[in-house]
Amino acid sequence: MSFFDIANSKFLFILVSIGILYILFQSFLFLKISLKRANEINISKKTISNIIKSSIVFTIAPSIAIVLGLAALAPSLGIPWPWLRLSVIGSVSYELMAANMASSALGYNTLAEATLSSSNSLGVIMLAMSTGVAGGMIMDIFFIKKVNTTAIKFKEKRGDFGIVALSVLFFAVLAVFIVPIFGDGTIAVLTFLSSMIVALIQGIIIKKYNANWLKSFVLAFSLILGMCSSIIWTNIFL
Amino acid sequence: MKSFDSYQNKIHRVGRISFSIALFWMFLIPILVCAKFDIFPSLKTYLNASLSLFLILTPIALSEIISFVPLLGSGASYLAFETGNVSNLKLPCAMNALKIANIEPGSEEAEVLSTISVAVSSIVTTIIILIGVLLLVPLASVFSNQYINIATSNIMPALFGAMFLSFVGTSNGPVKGNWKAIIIPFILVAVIHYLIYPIKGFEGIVILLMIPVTILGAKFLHKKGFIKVIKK
Repeated sequence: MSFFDIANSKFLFILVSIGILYILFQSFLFLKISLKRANEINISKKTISNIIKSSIVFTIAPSIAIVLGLAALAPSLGIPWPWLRLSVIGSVSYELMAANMASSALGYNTLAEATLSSSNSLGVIMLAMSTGVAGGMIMDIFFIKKVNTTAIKFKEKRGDFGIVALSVLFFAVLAVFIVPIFGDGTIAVLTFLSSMIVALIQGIIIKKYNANWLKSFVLAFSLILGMCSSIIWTNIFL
Repeated sequence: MKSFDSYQNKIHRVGRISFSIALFWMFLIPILVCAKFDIFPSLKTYLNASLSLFLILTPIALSEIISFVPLLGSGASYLAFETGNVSNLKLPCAMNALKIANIEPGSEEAEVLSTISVAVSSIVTTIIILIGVLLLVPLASVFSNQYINIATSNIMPALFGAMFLSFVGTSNGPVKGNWKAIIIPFILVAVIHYLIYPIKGFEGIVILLMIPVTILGAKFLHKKGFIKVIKK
């Protein structure tokens, strides 16, 4: 069986659907518990209703952006696995990086190479992506209560440098993934630059026209249009 | 009326149990798929692929717990961290909700309202993604098209073109000039990758090495005044 025969199999779809139903159940459970408490401490129905309405409206645009990210990931990883990963724990950028690192560890240059060569790489990718986030999940289970009850004010204790350190933490990841792009050929470099230009244009539109709704879509649009540009560059240069 | 402690204890009990079940299921899915289709990797391959990811993502998760839990409160935290998209969706959604209710984070009302907000947000996101999946499924056969293959082969440059600008270009937060901190890791990674040994396959290790280098470089730049923190 090929990579995508398994990645898009009914079996995986069913397993993921069970996971998604569980997320819905959990969300309704927390909603029920918190609504009950809200009534007990006399929070007005109007306040609760406003919170619910604002949360629904606030969530729609970013959720559509997540679906666009899923559409971008699906040709590489199938539909069900990114569906699960984007609904649980992850984001488009984390999942792509994790999948790419897993492929790289198998000796493939790109995720696309890994998926085209063998179905075995799917097992590694899925297990590696799950293990990658497991540490964080275990810490959530043990430390959310501790942090919440002792209210560790890390932000105040660490001072200005702590704020700076957190703001540059991701630069190490950027350097490691971007630098090799410049050795991967003309198409890769042009795709990188095209995506950056699309993001820049969107940034200008947001600022000039106060189009705050567009902020949720910048990454998704840049990713998809960047990928589309690679088709154009390939036709021009190859 | 039950006390706040009693509510908190219930939230932590429900949170820990439900989160543990999610963690278990998240691992069970790939294990069952590997078993059914006989695609289990060797232990060496699995560790090689997983270890660096685990070592990179775990400290980032700890940093998020310390930063976001005091803002979100307990109920919202369990749900937000499990469903993901915390900093780009759940946290701003919850903070927006508190702003509308004119309540500061940290109070009992904030705890409860933030949980309601994140729960609603999770339900809406799950439903919208489900609709997206139902629309995508008929298109699955299109994904093997040669042009789609070209596009997906270039997914990483496309992703990082956008991310580079969003991380380095924006200056909305309190830190100004922090883009300068990317110069040293860029140069070091370039020297290693192009002059010493290609880093493909070792990204995780190089990231772990570059994180302290980047932070120390930023510390130096901050001390010299090239990076500033603007307090509001």
